[in-house]
Amino acid sequence: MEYELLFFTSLANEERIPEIKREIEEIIIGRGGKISADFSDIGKRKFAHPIKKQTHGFFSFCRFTLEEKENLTEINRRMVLNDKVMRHLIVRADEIGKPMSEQKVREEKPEEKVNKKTEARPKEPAVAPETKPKVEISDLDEKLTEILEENPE
Amino acid sequence: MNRPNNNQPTPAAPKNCFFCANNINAIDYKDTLFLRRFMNSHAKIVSPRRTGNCAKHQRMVTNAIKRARTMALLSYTIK
Repeated sequence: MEYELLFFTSLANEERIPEIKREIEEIIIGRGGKISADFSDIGKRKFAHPIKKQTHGFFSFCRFTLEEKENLTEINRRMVLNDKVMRHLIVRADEIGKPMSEQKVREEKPEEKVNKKTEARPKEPAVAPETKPKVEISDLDEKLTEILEENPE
Repeated sequence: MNRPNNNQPTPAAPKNCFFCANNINAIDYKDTLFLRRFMNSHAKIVSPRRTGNCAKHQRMVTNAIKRARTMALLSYTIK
């Protein structure tokens, strides 16, 4: 059975991330698991809500295969004991499927340069980002459905 | 729970489940932008009556949202 493990650490441990990853690999391999792909980083990200009075964390995830699911409890226990990892989550990979976020990358829009006077004003850029994301989200949804209809996988 | 004037009709739901229509059988809990579609402006999970999701896929959506919440990818509330 294939699983996916997501963890995040506090930014205080940012320099020790390769070390943390190695420790996690040892935990998984030590319980008979096989890491199918290397860790893919989500990177530094703001928490949706503060955890232990921290607002930012470093996210990373990897997929691994494990034959005996009894060993999952042991892996979970070892992960909790590792105090560099703030939180982690192991989920069956077939529940997640392929990441749908591949389409999210194409968010960039060509910005039009209209007037130099409006650009010079400090208030203009503060107002613009609030109105833009609403349009983008609805656009994105339409794109998503279009793409999903084109290639059903 | 008793509302005094319950004469207003419930909001009409789209007939088709989004996931059934697009043949999706797995939801990535890390895809927060996508999951936001099934939450309202207060970050609450929207009922299937509004979204039109079938029971099976609504369960998957709620599971994914709750997972994302514990991993601080989605918020529990927005005031």
